[in-house]
Amino acid sequence: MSSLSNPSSALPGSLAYCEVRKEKSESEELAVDPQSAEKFSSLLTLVRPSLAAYLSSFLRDRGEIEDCMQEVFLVVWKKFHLDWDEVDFRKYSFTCARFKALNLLRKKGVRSMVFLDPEVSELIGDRVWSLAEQSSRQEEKENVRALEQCVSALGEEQKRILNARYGGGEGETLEELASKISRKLPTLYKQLERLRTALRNCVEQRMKQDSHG
Amino acid sequence: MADLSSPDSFPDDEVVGLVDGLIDGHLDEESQRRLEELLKSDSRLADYCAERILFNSKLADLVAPSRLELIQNRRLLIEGNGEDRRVVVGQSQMAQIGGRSGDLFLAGPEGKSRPSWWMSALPWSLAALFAVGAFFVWSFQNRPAPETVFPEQVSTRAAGATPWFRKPTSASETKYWLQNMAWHRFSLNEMKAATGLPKDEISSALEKYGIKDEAPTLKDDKLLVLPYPGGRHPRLGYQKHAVNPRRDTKISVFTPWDADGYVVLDVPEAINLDRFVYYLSHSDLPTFWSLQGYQLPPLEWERHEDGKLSYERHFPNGVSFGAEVTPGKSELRLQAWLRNESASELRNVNLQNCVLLGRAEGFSEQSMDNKVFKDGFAAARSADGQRWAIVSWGETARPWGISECPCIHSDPRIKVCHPGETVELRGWFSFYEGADLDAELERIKSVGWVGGL
Repeated sequence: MSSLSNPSSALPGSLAYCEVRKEKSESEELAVDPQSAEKFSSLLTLVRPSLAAYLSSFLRDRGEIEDCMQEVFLVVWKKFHLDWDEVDFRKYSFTCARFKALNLLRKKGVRSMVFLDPEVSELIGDRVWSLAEQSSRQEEKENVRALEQCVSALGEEQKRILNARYGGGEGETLEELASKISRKLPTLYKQLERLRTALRNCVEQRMKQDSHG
Repeated sequence: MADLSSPDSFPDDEVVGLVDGLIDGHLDEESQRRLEELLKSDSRLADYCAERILFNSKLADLVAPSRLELIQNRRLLIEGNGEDRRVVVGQSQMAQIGGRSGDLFLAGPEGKSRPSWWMSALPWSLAALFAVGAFFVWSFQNRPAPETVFPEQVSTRAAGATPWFRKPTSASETKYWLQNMAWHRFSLNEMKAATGLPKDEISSALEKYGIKDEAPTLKDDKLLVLPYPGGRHPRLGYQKHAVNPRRDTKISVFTPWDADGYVVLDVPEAINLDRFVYYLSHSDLPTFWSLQGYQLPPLEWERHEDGKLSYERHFPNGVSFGAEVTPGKSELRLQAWLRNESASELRNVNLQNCVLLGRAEGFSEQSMDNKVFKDGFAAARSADGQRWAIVSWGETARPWGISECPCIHSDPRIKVCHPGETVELRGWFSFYEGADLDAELERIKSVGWVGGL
């Protein structure tokens, strides 16, 4: 790996880390290399699910997560070198994603935002990536299918809470729901937390049943 | 992986609350510091946190499908040269590189409405697509651009929406496809959905060619095998996981005991490489190609005199795959190959071969209770217990099924296909009437056809 292209040569924690800078030579820039495009696309496909998950620890709205990911990939493409491996690509994307997300939140003027320190954030990023790596595509599909069945078995009120949390602003928000059903917002968050735990247990149970069936 | 799921052991309520507080964005500063402290002191917590974040992401994907549908249909395109090279994001998949503008459509034969967001993006899309099309055509071995557009945006979820259609290109093709669909017992509406022809035109063509509502005559007592015409979703259920099924790789095998019943074989439904999709015969997941803004052209089976069917699919980077289906009296001998003329190795190639059972009488039960998976074989039993549909792509293939479709699979895996190499595989599909499935599977094994070459 060339030192120029090594993302870790930039200082994590500084905004310059994900600045769009021209690092390629003129001659490299003049040619569109199909091999680069191919490798970039395959690495992007690999990183995308865990990056989306990582961003979900900063951003609540799916549209914002997608927009942020696209901005990240724009930057990564500019910096991308053919000799990058998965780790380079992931490190670069994750660090960049963190800054993009924080910038977005700042622009939105989110007052109550709290940010984990970079070291902790990077630790979580690493773990998200490595956990996402551990399951095969097939396992993932089965997992999602099990989750779908578990969600469909929920009661109406539980589904309403999920929709309010994940509906992307198209329906009622959690705040609106809390006021409609005369509950405090922290109570709804607590309920949401229990729902996730219950769903997670349900998925695990279904996966176990499937593997034995 | 350590079991972190039990609320009785680890994590305790405080940890769950903190992690979910982070996910939901409502941690106050004090809680955040506490979480950081815990994360630094207990390595298990980082794993738990990551698991919870991943789970949350899956849940969000699932609960907001309408939003995701839009997102999944956005793609990453690379265009331009030199200083102007850039990635264009957020393009619609509805327009296609090299497609004729007259072929752009969004719904079935009568679907004229387009979502307004797409209309507003049209000039941008066309301009960007022109540039990207030029780039891909130039860079990927000057392969011809696809001729027909099959917009992946068309959702089968909309009531009455038509997934896609292909207009026959000549009188003989019209005759062939109408006969094909008549044997599938398609209604006029379904014929219209498959061909894009108006119903009155279809009616007069049926009359002109003397196509009647009658059972086909079998050639040499062989199983009747036809290219699947499209126009009718090949799945009974679970359709939202097969949006816009393309007919390209699909064939129908009619049951020998009932000329109205058939199963659909998708050879293959998908090709997966490591963790990304290289080919998919429907459009609900982004593929290696769609992410690059390249839409694969439609494909048709070549029909041979002796009833054999075959096709070859060429990707822009020099990788190609193909299949050949040879019908016998009660079985189909299947062959598939993957040729790698690209510069890179293809690793962990998984061919997802699907047998869709819903349209065969007695096999439409949406259950796993009537399915058997062993030694690379997947078999489905009819409701009366007397008949079986059996598929295998060799002992090492992964047999599985989905109750809701309903379908069975036998998915072979190619560990590696080196540049310049062609890997060939052989598969088997048959109907069996009898009660001793084990003996039948042994018999199939003894034929010695199934497996790698």
